[in-house]
Amino acid sequence: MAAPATQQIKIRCNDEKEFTVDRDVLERSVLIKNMLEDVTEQQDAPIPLPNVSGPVMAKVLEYCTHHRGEPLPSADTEQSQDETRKRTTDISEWDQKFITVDQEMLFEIILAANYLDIKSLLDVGCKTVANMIKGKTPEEIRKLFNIVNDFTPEEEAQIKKENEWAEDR
Amino acid sequence: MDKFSDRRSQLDVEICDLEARLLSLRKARNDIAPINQLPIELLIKIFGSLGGIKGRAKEILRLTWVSHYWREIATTCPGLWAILDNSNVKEGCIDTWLMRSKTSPLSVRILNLLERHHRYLQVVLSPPIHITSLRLSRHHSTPDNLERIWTMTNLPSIRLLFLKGFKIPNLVVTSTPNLHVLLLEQCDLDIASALTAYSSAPLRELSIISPIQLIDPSTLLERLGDISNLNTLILIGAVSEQLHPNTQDVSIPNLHLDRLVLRYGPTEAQKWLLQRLIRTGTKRVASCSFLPSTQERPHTEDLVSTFRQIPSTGARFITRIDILEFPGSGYRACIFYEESGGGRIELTLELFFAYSLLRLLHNLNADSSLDNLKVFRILRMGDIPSGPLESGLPHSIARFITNLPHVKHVHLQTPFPFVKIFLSSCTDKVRSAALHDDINVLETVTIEANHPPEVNFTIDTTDYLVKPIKNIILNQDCFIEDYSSFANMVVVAGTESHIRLVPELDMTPIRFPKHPLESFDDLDTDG
Repeated sequence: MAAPATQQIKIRCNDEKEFTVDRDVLERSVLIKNMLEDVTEQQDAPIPLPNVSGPVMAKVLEYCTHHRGEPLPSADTEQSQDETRKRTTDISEWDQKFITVDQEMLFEIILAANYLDIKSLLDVGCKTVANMIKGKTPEEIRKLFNIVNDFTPEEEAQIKKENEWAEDR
Repeated sequence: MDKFSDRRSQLDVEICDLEARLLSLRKARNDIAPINQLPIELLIKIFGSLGGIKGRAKEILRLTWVSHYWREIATTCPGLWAILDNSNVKEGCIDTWLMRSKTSPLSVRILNLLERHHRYLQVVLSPPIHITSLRLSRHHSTPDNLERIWTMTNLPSIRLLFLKGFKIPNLVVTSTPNLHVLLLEQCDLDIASALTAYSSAPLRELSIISPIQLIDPSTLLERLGDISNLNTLILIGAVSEQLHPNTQDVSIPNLHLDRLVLRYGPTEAQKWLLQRLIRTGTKRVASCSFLPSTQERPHTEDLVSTFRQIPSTGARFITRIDILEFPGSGYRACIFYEESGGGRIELTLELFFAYSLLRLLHNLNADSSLDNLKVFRILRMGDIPSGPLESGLPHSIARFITNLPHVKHVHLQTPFPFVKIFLSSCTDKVRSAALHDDINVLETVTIEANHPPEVNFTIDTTDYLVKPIKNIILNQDCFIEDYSSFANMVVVAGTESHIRLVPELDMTPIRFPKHPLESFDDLDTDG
């Protein structure tokens, strides 16, 4: 069964890179979906996306294309804390492969997902960073994210005390 | 007079300046760390995604030990501190923990409550209290009296209360007037009077497991009538076996349960209760018996006859039945299902022996209105192909599932070789349906494969006409040659082609005797 012809939409990134994409793929982004709903007539001018670069947009579009047709999470399906915690490491195989990128790209994707309002992609990004942090010592976390220890001696003393607070269970 | 004192003071000042400068340089360097370019709300989201309950406290604390900026963010985000669990947060820091949680709804769990935890509980329950969920448990054969430590008279914020192993004073009930969920396990409490007290509470879920005093079913039914919001009722080993002589007069409460679980039995009293509760607008029954031993089988028959006694309109609200650890055979489970009244659309089976499943499927009426079948954890399928009979089993099961006339959705958790066989059966079904312009039968199939064999295995989907199948979930390593045959292929884990089809697998289906109920005993391995 052939799918009905979908409308093609043009977008322009901050580096002038343009993409022409099926409307249903772009509508994974709530931001763009709302923009398109506000425009009644078909326009040829590309939608400007000043906060996203071409390479990052290409990645985001790869995600949106893969997940096209899936139901969008509605705003009122707020999950309870318990459910959110349960789903912490719950990233599908495809998403895991997709998000295996260098740190710079990972953060760019998170920022883009946040700006474009693509909740599922934002979740995948944030969970990936959380999984990177999980189980590491503060020194390992610093090394991983290029952070240095900038505590005052007083803060250091307090932290040493706090070491006794939690058990590794 | 020390001749260097001035110089020393001067150097100290310089060191101080340099240290301050060093710190500010380090902070400036951290300001441009890539991760710190994320807006604070995103960092908080990342921090919030850390860990389940196990080890969570340590993970959260570690965040505060990374850098000045991270410490500031983490300590001022109340949500991160909203879970307090004595198994990983030590008593010495509860005050700080509570301070950091601010007024965020707090969830407190104290497992294995001992004398030394009493202070913990008192601190947590001191005003101002913003606990919404409190779980206290003890592992001891005799219930401890909670009276010694429960001194609070008004805890209106608590929505969920879980207590295990306590003698519960009336004060606990009167001090928690806004409960939504009450979970009691091995507790000593006068349930009847507690339910009277909670009649004005917005109680939605009540779970009673192995109470010290068993509850008289008629009294329970009477009291439940007062709790109009109740939508989940779980009674496991909770109801007394004998009925009170005057019980017949109790009217059926006006309840609309989304879920009813009655477990262990049923005894006469439980049967009586089930017959009444099921007429009240219950949408789902999860009725489970324990220990599939031969002694339990008469109980199963009783359960079936209980359902038989319900007038056909009695269970019209039931849309789902879960059968777990069902003793005896699939035949009985099948009768249980068939007798449960009209309108059912979904059947969930868990921990089923392959033979039992086969019987159930074989016996499902050809006119069965079942349109949604879920089977989790099929047992005795992993040892394929140890014998000629077992090797035909997956094929037979697949054939029976795909031949059920109205089943549109199937969810199977199954050993891997079954997947290929099942797909093959689906293909046959879809092909024959296509001949009759009835292509829509079998819309969604979700298969979660487990127990993968060890060497390469390819599903060559070009052989299959399986377009209507929406989801195939293979959670182990496998290689799918042509994804395009499926509307949606999800491979949950695994990247390499490491799945093998057992080469000598016998695809011959089992031939069924004409009257399976009499002739199946030689297959009966699940008791």
